[in-house]
Amino acid sequence: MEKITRYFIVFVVLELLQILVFNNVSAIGQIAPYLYVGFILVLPVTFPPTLLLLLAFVSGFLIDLSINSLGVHACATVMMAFARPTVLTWLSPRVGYESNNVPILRYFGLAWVLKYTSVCVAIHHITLYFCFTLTFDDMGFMFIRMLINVFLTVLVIIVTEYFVIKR
Amino acid sequence: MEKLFDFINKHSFLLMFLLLQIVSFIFIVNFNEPQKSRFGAVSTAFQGRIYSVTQKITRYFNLVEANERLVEENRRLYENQIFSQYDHTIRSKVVTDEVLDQQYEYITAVVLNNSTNKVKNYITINKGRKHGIQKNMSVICPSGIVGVVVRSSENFSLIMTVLNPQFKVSTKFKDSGFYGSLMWHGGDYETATLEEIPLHAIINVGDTLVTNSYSNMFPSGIMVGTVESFYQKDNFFSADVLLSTDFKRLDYVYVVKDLFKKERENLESGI
Repeated sequence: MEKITRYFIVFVVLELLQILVFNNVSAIGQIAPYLYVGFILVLPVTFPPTLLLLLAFVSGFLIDLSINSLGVHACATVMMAFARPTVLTWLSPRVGYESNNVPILRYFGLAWVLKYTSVCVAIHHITLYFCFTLTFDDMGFMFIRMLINVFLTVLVIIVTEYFVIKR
Repeated sequence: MEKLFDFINKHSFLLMFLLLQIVSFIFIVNFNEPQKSRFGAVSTAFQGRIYSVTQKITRYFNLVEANERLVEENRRLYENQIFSQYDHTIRSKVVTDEVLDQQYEYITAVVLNNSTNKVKNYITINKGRKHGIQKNMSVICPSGIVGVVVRSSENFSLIMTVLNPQFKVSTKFKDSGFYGSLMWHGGDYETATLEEIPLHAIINVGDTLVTNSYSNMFPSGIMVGTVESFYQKDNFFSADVLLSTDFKRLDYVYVVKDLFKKERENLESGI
């Protein structure tokens, strides 16, 4: 119960941070770190995947409501949540996961978390950019922007993990 | 029902994913202007493709019907063509002469059917009893003899051509006057055989052969052909004759009406 409350607080905090702070950080054109996806990433390894999808949809949809882009973030986040189990299996340690494993910096180390976060965020951003444009035109420019955005998001997530979820 | 629940339970992750993605997509294309117009353009293009493909397919299935329509239309067009109309005018060319009495009249006719490569060859013409054509009338064309009428109906006649083993006509050498019987023994449609030429006849290759009136069929002097080669057979000479009529190219023919035929037949049958 305590765990659920903690996750709920994390969820609310991340959503608020995203809506109130990071959505306004679009300093370099449309590039902004999407911190809120971190919530999906830090859920326990054994978290029910179907529920994960629902949570992803809700978190994305809230962001959509705030910036008036209905469906775009929801779609991207659901896509990421869909890929998460596969990515986890792909990155699983030699001995496999323990039932209470949480994929965060404290348990898995920087290199692993960097890989895990980068792959998931990349999937999210690719979907996001595609949903924004619904076209594959101008791929080169979009790809560069996407790369910068992925870098920014991963950086923000890991820094947040380092400082906030340390407890 | 249980199976359905089983299925949903088993694939809940995938089904949930698909459901949520579909919901998101519906949101995206309905509530975002740029995506909406973009999706509109893509879906219009897609619809266009689908329509063109289905149109291609249905067009294929409609081919039979279209074909039938075209055939019907062709039939109608053919019927309106001039060659489909039956010519009811009777053009009987009469050569009037003050001094001589008219013996032969000519009825022009168009060849409707023609054969040259059978054992017995016949042609069909577009004139019949109605136009005065009767059995045993001879038929000629501008380049030579054609044959003899064997049967005629109201509007059509059947002509046994030279290229028929039953056809036999008395033929003479134009210059020397010796005569024989022209026959055809099958094979080549360009050559016939002149038989029963007396042994004392003087024959040269290239001699011109014309009809004579002995067989009471053709008018005298109608071109038959030229001698190609000759040889002795029993007590007669035989000659291969290159026919002057090109039976492969018959289109218009003249049916010869002999006005004195009856009289001569009556006279000759009395012997």
